[in-house]
Amino acid sequence: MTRSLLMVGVLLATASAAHAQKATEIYIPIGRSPGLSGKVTVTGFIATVDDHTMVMSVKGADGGWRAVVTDRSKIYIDRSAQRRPNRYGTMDDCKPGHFCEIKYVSGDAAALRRRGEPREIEWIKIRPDNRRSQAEPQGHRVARRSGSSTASQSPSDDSGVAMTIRAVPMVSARRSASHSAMVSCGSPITR
Amino acid sequence: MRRSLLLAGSLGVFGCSSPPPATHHERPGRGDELVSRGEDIFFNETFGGNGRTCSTCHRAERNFTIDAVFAATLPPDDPLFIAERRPSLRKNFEQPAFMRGLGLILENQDGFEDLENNFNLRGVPHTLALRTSVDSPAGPRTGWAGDGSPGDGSLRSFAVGAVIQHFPKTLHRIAGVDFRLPSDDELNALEAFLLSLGRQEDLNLPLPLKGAVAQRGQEIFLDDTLGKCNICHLNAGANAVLGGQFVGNANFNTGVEDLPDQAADLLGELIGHTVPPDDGFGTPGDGTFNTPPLVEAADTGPFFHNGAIDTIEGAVAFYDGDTFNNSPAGKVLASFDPNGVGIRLDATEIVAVAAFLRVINTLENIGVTLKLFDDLLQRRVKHRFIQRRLDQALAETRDAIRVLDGGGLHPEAITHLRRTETLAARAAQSHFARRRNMGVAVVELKKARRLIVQEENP
Repeated sequence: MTRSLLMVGVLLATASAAHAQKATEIYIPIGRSPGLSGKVTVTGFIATVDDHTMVMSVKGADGGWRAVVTDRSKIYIDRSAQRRPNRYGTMDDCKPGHFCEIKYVSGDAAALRRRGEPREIEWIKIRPDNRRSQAEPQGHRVARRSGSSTASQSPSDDSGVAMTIRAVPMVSARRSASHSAMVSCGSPITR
Repeated sequence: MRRSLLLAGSLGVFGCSSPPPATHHERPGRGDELVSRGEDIFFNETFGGNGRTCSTCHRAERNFTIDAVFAATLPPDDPLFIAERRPSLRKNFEQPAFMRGLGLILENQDGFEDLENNFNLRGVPHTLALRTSVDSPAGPRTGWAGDGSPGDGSLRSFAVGAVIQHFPKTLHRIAGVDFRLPSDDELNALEAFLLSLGRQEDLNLPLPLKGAVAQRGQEIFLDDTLGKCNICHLNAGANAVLGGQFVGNANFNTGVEDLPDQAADLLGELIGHTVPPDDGFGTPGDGTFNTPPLVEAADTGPFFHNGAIDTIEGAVAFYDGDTFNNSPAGKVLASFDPNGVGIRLDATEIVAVAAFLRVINTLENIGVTLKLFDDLLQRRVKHRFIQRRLDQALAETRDAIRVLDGGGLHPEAITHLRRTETLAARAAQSHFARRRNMGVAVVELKKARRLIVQEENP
């Protein structure tokens, strides 16, 4: 019996735990990660960034979250709305006002309710210009918080050349109210 | 039998006398609207990319996989060979020499930062019997290493990663430019279609087989002190029972990467390309790969994640070799054996296990073909799918012949299957007397099956 239990232990230890493939995540725009976005991720706008503690706060319509960036965390720059390749980023790319999606390492829906508690993130996707990606499915709009639609950002491209992009409104003023009601930022994306 | 034979012990300790239920899902029928939509997407949708569809690599007429022999029959403008024609994909998207020579597809499982050096060359796993082979208590396992799917790692999410890896117009891989990502509805439909393919539940071994060699092969397969196959391939499926506990699909390091003289390495040396080692599950990988089902093995080679071995006999023999027995999985297996043996089989025993695998594969071919003909005869097939079903019935019949013939098994059954082949070909090629041809083919198929296995209700 002991031998049997030992064998089970050894075998289970050698059998890897289930796992998702991470390599393609960089190419998936904000809000499109299958089975994660809208369920175990948070979208919102970066409110504060503390380079010293590597903690940033993410603010949305119905609350705020705190994200701890570690050496293991991936920072993705989502430039699909600009029809440019996504790339990896650094903390320097994380600036207040940027639209983002974060996935905590403990990526369960219950953990999302623990707002305000700083927890390690597996990844953060940042859309520096806050534009809606063309990759977003029809009917899916990321609502913009009032006041951020005209904010200028200065992301740098692959060559390191700084550029200024003036964000354009994703939806017309006439339609924005209905879209905002449909999708609330700062909470798990609803579809 | 693939890379996962692990674990030793006696039948008394590790017997699998009460196999757990293998399926817990609602079963959509082939006529289900969602499944039909998924089928349309699988075969036709390019997702705004380079022209490939899911079926570019997962060919229905090749058991939803592809190999070099089949690839050689395709025209030069087939989307499979897009890397040879599109300048933006000429470098680092595929390795055409390996694709054409060995049926290997390029994957960037460990990231896209160093395309020149960081890639894997893997075969195309078939998509049959997924309903029985993906689940594990720790979560779903997809692809060769169990981590093939992005996002939540589920089968439903798989297409997202596949589109990004295999469908882009350029290596920038910009969503909305180089491809579009599947919508939620499309993912749901694709998942429903994939789950509808092939077996919906595991076998319940032993089967009352009629052939003496296959019968002996089944005994060896089920003997946890000799073949030890059933430990990780419960009922010739993809799930393991460890220490009497059902653990679903699992990953193991069986040492396939360490095999000497692998075809890909030899080809690489010949043409001056180095094939990077495949580290399997995770990034960095832990060297493990997951367990595929065996019922469908005999007609879906080459075998293992890198197509290292071409024949089912060779795949069984792998577990008798030094590479497996010196691997982490082999060592664990040996450490629990009273004589310190991992797996040791003589040539006749290897052939017997392979014969068993050939026979159960043939029975699956026959079962699928009967179902296809039945659906067609009962007019349960949408008009736009009729030709595909007829072609598939013909392909399944030819597979059955090939699999039996390759092992010198059941010559009389082969005679009936050849008649079925003729009838199925007529039905596929002409409307004339189609229903009659299918009806007679069903009779021939049943005759063939009765020669292979005793039926409960003959």
